[in-house]
Amino acid sequence: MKDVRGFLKEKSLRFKKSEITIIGLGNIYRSDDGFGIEAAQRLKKAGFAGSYSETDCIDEIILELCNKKIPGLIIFLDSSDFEGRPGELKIFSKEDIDDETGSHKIPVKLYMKLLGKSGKQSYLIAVKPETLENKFEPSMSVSVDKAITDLVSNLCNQFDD
Amino acid sequence: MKVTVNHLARVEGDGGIVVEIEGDKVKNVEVTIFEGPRLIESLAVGKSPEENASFTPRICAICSVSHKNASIRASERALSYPEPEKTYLTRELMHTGEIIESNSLHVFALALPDFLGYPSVVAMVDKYEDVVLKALELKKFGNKIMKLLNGKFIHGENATAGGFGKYPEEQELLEIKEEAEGLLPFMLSAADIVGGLEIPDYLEEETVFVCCNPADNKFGFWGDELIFSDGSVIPSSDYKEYILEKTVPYSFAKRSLYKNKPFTVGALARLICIGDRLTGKASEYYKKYRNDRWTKNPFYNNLAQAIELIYALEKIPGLVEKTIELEDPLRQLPGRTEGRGVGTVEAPRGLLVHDYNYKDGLCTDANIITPTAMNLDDIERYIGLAARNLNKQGKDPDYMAFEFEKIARAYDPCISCATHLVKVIKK
Repeated sequence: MKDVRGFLKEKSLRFKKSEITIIGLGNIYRSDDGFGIEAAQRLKKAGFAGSYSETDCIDEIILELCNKKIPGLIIFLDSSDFEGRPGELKIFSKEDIDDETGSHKIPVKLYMKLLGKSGKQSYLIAVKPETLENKFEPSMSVSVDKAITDLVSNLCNQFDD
Repeated sequence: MKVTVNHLARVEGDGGIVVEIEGDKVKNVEVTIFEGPRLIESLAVGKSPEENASFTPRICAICSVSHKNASIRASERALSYPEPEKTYLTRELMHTGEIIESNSLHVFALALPDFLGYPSVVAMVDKYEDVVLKALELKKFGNKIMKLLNGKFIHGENATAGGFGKYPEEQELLEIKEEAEGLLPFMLSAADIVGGLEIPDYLEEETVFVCCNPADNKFGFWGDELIFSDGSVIPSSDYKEYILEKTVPYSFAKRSLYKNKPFTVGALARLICIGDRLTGKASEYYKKYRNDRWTKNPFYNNLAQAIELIYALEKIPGLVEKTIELEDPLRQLPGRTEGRGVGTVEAPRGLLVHDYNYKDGLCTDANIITPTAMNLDDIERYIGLAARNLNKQGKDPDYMAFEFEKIARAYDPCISCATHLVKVIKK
C-alpha cells in the first residue's frame, strides 16, 4: 500500500480529480476478479465522476480520451496474479504488462499505448486475488475488499478539485 | 522431438492444439476444447420464447445478437409469429452491428498482426496508429448500433420474440447512417491493406463451405435455407439430414460433418457461396480480390471479413432509410402454442443453428450448433496439412507452432473462456 500511496501522492501534485479517469476491469462473478468493477463503482459514489466499469464499453471511453489531446491520468483497475500477498496492491505501467488479445477484448496495453500517444499517463493498479472462484452472487474476499476500501480512501484523500 | 507453445493467443477459449509428428509422418492432430459444457440446450427446456430469447444468448458475449436472432427466428417459426417489416429491418440492422464489431476486432486486432509481422496489435501502433484508431472506431460503431437497438451492446434485452420493446428514434437512426457513410472510405482503404497481404500456400486443399441462403437471391446474414458450395440448397429445417454432429474423446465440443467430411463456415464461406450477390463497393472488392485459392486456403477468411465490413457499412444507409419510413409495430403474438422451428443465422464466425420444439407455449427440446463447432474438423484438417508440408520443408517446431496458431486464428474461433495450449510433438 505504501507504493500505491506514494504513487498517488506524486500524481496528485500534477493532476486534479477531474483530470482522472478510472476504468475498472474484471468479472464480479469470479470473486476477487470483481476488484476493478467494485472499486470503480465505489469511486464513482465517492465523487470520481470519470469512473467507469468494463461494462460501460471501454472502446468508447478510450477513443474519446484519445481524441482529446490534453493531459490526463487514466487508472485501470484489475486483479492480477503477481507475486505477493492476497489483497496487496501493485502499480504497473504499460511496459510491465502483456498484450494478450482475445476475440472478446482489446488488450489494456493497446489502450495505454494509444493514450500515451495522446499525451496522457496511464497505469494499472492491480490487486493480488485471494480466490477467483465462480460465484452466483458477487462476493469478494476480506483481503481484497479491504484493499478496495484503502484504495478509495487514498484516492479521495490525495485528489481534489 | 517435442515442442510446446503454452499459449494460443488471440483466440477466445479454453482449448488447445496438439500435433504429433513422427519422421515425415503427421501421426495425430487434435484441437482440444476444455470449455465446460454449459448445458444451455437442457436449460432452454421449459422456457417461453421470450425467456429463450433472453437466456440462450448467454452462450456468448461476442455473438449474443446472433444467438438472440437465431433464438427469435426459431421460436417465431415454431409458434407462427407474424414479423412486421420494421421488426425485420431493425433486427437486420442490429445483426449488422454485431458483424461490424466482431469482424473489425478480428481483422485488425487479431489477424492483421500475423500478416504484417507484428507479435500483436499493440506492436502495430507505432507504424499503423491511424489504422488501429479507425479500427477501434469501427468496433465502437458496431457496439453503438447494438446498444441503440438492443438496449446494451452485450446481452441487450430490447429485442425479443414478437418484436422490440422500443424502436429507435429517427434522429438516432440517421446518426447511424451518417456514421456508416463516414467510415466507408477507411474500410475501403483498409480492405486494400488486407487484400494486399501475402497469403501462405503451405496448406491449400479444397473443402466444402456452407452458409445461410438469404431470400430473394440477396447477400445477407440469415435465411431459411442453407446453401453449400457444392451447389446443394436445403431447407434449414432439414439440417440434421445433412449436418451430422459427433463427439470426440479428447474434447468437450461437438463436431459436425457434411457427407462425412469436414466443412467450413464463416465469412469466407459466405463469400464463396453467395459473394456473387454482393453489390456496390463490396462487389467491386470481391471481384478485385477473389481468386481460385479462396476455396482452398482458410487464410482468406480475414479478407472475406474485411469485404463483409464494406458490405455492412454500405447496407446500413438503405436499412435506415427504409426503417424510418415505417410505423413502429405493436409486439406480435404467437399464432399457435406448439410446433418446431429452426432459426439459422450467420454469426460473425459462421452458421448458427437454433432448433426448438414447443408444446403449450413452452420449449420441450432444443438443439444449438455453433459455428466454431462446425469448423473444428476443418481446422484440424488444415493444421494437419500444414504440419505435413512444413515438416517436409524442414521448418522447426517453433515456426510450425506459430503457423498452426495462425491457422486457428484465421477461423476466428470463439470457444469462450481462457487458457490455451498448442503442442507439437515431433519424434
